[in-house]
Amino acid sequence: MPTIEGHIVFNDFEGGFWGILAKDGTRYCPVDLPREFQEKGLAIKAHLERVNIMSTRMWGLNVEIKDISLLTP
Amino acid sequence: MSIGFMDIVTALLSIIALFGLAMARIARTENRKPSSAWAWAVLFFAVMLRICLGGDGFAWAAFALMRDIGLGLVIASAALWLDRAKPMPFFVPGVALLLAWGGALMVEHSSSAHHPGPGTRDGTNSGERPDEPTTELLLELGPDDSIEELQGILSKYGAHAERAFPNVTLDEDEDLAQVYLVTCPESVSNDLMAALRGDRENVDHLEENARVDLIPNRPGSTRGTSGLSPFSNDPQLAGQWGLYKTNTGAALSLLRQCKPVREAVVAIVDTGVDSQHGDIEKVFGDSPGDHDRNGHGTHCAGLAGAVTNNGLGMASLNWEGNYIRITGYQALSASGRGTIESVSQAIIDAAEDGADVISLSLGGPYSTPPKTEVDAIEYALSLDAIVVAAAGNEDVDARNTSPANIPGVIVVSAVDQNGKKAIFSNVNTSLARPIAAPGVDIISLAPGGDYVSLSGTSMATPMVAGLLGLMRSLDPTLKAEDAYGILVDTGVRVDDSRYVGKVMDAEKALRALGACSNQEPSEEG
Repeated sequence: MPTIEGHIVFNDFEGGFWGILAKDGTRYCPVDLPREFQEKGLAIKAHLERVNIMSTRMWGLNVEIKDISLLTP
Repeated sequence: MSIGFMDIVTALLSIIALFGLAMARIARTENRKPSSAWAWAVLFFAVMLRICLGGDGFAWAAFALMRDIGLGLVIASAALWLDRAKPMPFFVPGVALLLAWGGALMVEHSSSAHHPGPGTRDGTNSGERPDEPTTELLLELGPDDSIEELQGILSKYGAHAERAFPNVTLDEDEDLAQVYLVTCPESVSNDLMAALRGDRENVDHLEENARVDLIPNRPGSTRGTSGLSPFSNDPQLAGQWGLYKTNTGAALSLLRQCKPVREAVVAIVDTGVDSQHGDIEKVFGDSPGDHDRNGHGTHCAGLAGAVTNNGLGMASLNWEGNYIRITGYQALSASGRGTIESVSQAIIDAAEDGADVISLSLGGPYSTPPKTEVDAIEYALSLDAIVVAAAGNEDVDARNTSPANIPGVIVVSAVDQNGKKAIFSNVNTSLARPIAAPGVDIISLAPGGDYVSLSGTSMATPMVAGLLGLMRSLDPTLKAEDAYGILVDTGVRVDDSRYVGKVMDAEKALRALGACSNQEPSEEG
């Protein structure tokens, strides 16, 4: 899976969880978003890896974060 | 007003500085070589500056100055007295400042007693004001760390912490046992999070708690709180808008005068179910998923079959617990995630245990459904189970969400209080068996005897599963295809039905089934 750029979103359904909305509109549901990135609107760059799981969230592609950094404006 | 490590350091430095100044004065008085009085003075003013500019508010800075200068002057006067010098110029103001500080502490303590909650250092807001919004954080400490080590930071921001999962021991789960629920005024939450994240020695993890509305189990009548006629004595009923939307009151009026042919089993394949919850304990059947570390499965279980008219908590279609037996199969972990294998295995187990309905409030993005899961569902259907799955929460078509896109599955989208598609709900324009049910701000069970309001197609799904279970209890020969036909034929068309299907109507479905046909409802909801 390529490196993506996007921003952090918080979904308030299914109990609430963090996600990544990529610039191309793709939604990613990370299983392991580091705590320092758990902030709405943060612009990030991340290298992701797809994981085959089922979950209660049913939102976006389930991914593990291999690398993530803040995007500087 | 608790005192942190930096406060102690600051106080000690100011006392040392004042002591040094006193010694310098003694030396000058006795015409000895004076020590560097200016150095002590610089240290003292640096410490005072730190207190004043510490960002803790004017009142707290004033308290700290009174305490530190008072202590310093008293110690200095003691030193002068020991050195046979005149202590009075230091002693009197020192004692006065300490008395003032003590008085301030007493006032704050008294205020805290009247307004339980966290005190704040600026002294202007002892505890959260009732009208002040608060934020909840989930703070996880390391296995060897103690919350006391963070008390200074918490006090500084007027926050308080309590264990989030007090029943979990370190032996059982060293992560959950060290999770604290931190409540603080919303205005300082960002600063508090930054401060806590800065303490990497103690803090393993910190995140904002998902804001959900925990609803206490209120005893008493609900009449007059919803504007709708209560149809059972369950205290949470007034908030259960979904029951009114699905004509459940009229259905219960039928059921209260009716008897099932047999109990139907609705299997919740999810994170497990808290089988000890008082609103479901009576109807929970022998099954492996009888614990729930997440809460999602318990919430779904309540919607499918919480005991109704028991004077406790919520209502469902399970009138007095006579019609539906709930079973639990844990396919997802405490984090709400599972593998294709774990979900498939749970479906197989539920079907083999004789589930009439299998409720799947879970899914993943698969345009082609995983073969194992397809096989598991086909197996369950072959054993006469009715399989219901959530449409998903992406506001896209459910055809790319599995198990919703597996043939034979009834797919449930969510609607809101206005009968509109829930903003997050997937639509269903291409799959064979669409239906809709309420899925926004839905009250149901939470582990530990609580109730919580959640949103999602996960919440809509067990409502449909409960109705299907009820139908099976009245007609055990009912096939999945026929059951779905009744749901669609009797469902209510809403504005967004072209996207999500019809909204289920419990009373009309029962009447179409011919159940309790010789009975008339005694009270309409």
